[in-house]
Amino acid sequence: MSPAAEERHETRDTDLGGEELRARLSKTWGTGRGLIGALSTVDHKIIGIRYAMTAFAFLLAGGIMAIIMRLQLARPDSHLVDAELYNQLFTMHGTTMMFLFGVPVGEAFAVYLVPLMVGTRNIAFPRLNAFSYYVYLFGGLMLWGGFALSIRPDVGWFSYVPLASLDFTPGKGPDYWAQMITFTEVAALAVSVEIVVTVLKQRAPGMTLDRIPLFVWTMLVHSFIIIFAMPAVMLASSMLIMDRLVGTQFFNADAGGDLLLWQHLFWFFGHPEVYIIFLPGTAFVSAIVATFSRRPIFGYLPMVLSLIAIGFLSFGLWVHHMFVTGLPEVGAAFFTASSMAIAIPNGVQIFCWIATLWDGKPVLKTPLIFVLGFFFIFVAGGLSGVMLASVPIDTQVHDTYFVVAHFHYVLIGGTLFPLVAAVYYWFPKVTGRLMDERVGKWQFALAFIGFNTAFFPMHLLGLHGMPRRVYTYPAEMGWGGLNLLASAGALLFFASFLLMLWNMVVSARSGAFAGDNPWDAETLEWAASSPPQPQNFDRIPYITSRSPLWDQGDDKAVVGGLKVDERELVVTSITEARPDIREESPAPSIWPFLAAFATAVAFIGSIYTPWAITWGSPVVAIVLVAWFWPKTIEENV
Amino acid sequence: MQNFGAGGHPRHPLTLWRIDAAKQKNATDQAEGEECRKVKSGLTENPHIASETHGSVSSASDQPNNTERNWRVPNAVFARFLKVFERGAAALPGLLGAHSCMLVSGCTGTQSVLDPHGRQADALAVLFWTFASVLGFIWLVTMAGLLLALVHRRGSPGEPAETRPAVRPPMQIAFAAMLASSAIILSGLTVLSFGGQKAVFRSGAGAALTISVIGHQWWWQVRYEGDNGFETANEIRIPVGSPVDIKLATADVIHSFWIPSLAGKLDLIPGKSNELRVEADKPGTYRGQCAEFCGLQHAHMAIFVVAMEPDEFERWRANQAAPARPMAHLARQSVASAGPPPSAAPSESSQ
Repeated sequence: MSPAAEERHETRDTDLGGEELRARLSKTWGTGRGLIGALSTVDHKIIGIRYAMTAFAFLLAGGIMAIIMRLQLARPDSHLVDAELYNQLFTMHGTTMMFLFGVPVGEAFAVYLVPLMVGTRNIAFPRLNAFSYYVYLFGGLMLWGGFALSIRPDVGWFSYVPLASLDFTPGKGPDYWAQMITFTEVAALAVSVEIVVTVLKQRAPGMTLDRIPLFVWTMLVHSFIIIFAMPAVMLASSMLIMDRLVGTQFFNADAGGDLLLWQHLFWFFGHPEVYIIFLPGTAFVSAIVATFSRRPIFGYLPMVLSLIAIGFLSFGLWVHHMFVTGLPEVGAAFFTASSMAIAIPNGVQIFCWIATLWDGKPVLKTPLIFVLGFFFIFVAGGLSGVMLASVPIDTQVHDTYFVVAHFHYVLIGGTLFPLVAAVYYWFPKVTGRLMDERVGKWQFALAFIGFNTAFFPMHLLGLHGMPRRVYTYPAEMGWGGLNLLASAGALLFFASFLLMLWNMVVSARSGAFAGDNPWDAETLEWAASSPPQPQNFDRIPYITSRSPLWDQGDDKAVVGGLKVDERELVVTSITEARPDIREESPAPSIWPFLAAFATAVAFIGSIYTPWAITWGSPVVAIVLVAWFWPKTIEENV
Repeated sequence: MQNFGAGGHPRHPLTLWRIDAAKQKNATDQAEGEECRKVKSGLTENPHIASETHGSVSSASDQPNNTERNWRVPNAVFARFLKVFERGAAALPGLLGAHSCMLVSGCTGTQSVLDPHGRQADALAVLFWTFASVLGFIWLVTMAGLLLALVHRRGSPGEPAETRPAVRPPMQIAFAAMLASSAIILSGLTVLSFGGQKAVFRSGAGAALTISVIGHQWWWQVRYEGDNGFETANEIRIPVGSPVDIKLATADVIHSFWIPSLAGKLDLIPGKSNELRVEADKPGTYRGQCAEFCGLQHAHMAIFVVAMEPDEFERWRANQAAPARPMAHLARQSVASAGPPPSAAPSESSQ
């Protein structure tokens, strides 16, 4: 930084205190007014909330799809929806839940909470963060806009070739699907890079690697998995769209292409994807179990090692999705062993949480109750997963309702139950008001009974021969009763989410005031005000413990010397978190929004003509040049 | 035959045929009584099925251990132990309010992993129940641990946190025990799974009979190879008690061939040849359906495997291989009256 600039902004946080410091920082880090201000914001909290609300909107949409499917399957030979619409529904349900809800909702919580938990003022690369949100939003809107306009993918969330090829599925549905993948993957990769850099370089001084909250460790591993897994599916979806648009032959067996290549690439992403969706759930569980047991998590080191082990092992199991494609025997056996092995680090995590509850004094508030539901459901789902790891057993249950039951136990039990717990847990931080406990407990009862009624019978249906993705079944098969039961449970489960929505709306308006730390939790986000100021913390905390809010008492050490009128934050070393430099954090800018818009136009255009890429690239390049235009000039404008 | 698939609704003619096949089969084969024993009166909408099953109930008591005899597991005690589980699970749908017709499907064309009638499916069911009982036990232990942890000590919201709890030796021992036991159990299950792969991967000499199955959207073309080769659609007949190899290929997209009561599934993939071995251990009709999503009418892509006594099978085969007779007209007539000659209806469209 030039000496001239140093002179212009002299005031540092050591010169001020109390309300004045808070007001000045809040002005520096604040978001502009009006529509332009809203679209320009780079505040990780505002973007995190947008991410979360968008993801919940998609959850609702995907849930409605599920309810329509359950109504169709409630009776044999039903004609509520026809085969064509049913195939579109399950495609949209799976795609929405995996790509537009499951992945982004974890990122939403990471974007909001990680900077707070590591004690910094904004996420790393905040403009990229804004860009990623808009790209995600446009991708989701494109898919659902297409659905509304009857451009509907109907070949499953996995789009196996050759069914998804032009020969068997003309029309634009699969292209919209494939481009949606590109959108969400770009967004996910961007967020992951931000999280990794935030965690490794922006931690508060003193927060050494072994003082990072488990939540943050989990999100770090989660981000690394995304970085290594997502390119595989982007590659695959781009190859698919090129096969469909410009006549490449990647997946044409007759022309020397390989159909199984699609499956390998898709599942090389697809299995880590399960952990991409599940790990945020474990992050929530770690935070909530500690707070409500009134103890730090038992076995910090084994927990961190398990997370890292899961991160690596999750890349070694993808072939268990392909056990019935006719693999060589030894190859299949290898993937049985690796799939079994990942149960061990997961078992370690479960053990450590239960040990924490054992050693602590559990307080049964709604968040912990949902976490107990998580144990009940997820452990069952994990164990049925051990069955699927076995090649011979898998040949019987693969692509049946047994598998449907299994992964809903894992994903809903492993992610959605902790997610609801997390909503109850962090709602007071985000809004400043507590959610209603009584409604929360009713919601749990509905969700728990509804979920198990909906999904347990599916195990039996699968064993009795009911395959997945059938829009109806003959009455003689005798699957009617269990399907009716499952549909009834699904309705209950759906109702529990409407109850949560109602609770959120009412509590946001008239819930009890929360204060900064309503649960007396240990991690730094509870040191910020509720809701947090734009600058998160008036002074950057100095960390001497793994549970700073429990161990460091009221007299918390802080780090001083940051400028007040410029967006400055502390960059620290990777392992020891020694303060290295003061770094300027980018200010709000409209260019990320415009860049996302230009990118979206190019991507959507490319579905119709390859020339959209040719003509779209210069436009995107121009917008990016404006975005990255050197700061000193931008300041003078 | 082409319009059979292109019509988009191949189920209709099959429904009529299935009723008839079950009827015909029960008339000649008393062993079918084994699974019909489970039938309660008035459970099915179909009068043909209902009357036939009632007729064979009395024969069930003659062979109470019919299925057990066929378990190909060295440890007979273990098999019997698992059988108890299976009975319990079979009762479960009833307890859950399921339409008991599920059990009746044993008489219309069995389609259930839990009702194995073939060498491969037997082995897979044993493996399944082994895993299910071991893992179910682990689930119970985990839940018991969780429950104990909750009632062990309870706190109140205002209570200050204990921030630096001593790591107690018993918890470290429990941790080590958990780690060791899960490693041992998982290794054990892995070894069992490897053993079970014999049921999936063929080994040894070629089978007595090889049949080609070609998947189409949304029907199955079945080709009996050899000098007197012939074709059928959506129906395979095999002799009981001898291994049959099924060569799987597809004419369009990926399908998956799955007859749960006989063997696990295997995909039909363009440009790849897969081969599945099945061996039925008693006569019967076993239903299956495509298990890989294959487009619009995936739900209706069913197939039947009819296992016959060897001599009966040879007669059928010879009959099929014989020059075509003007059978189509006759078959259509008798479908209308729900009583076609057994072999005519399914193969009428094939030649």
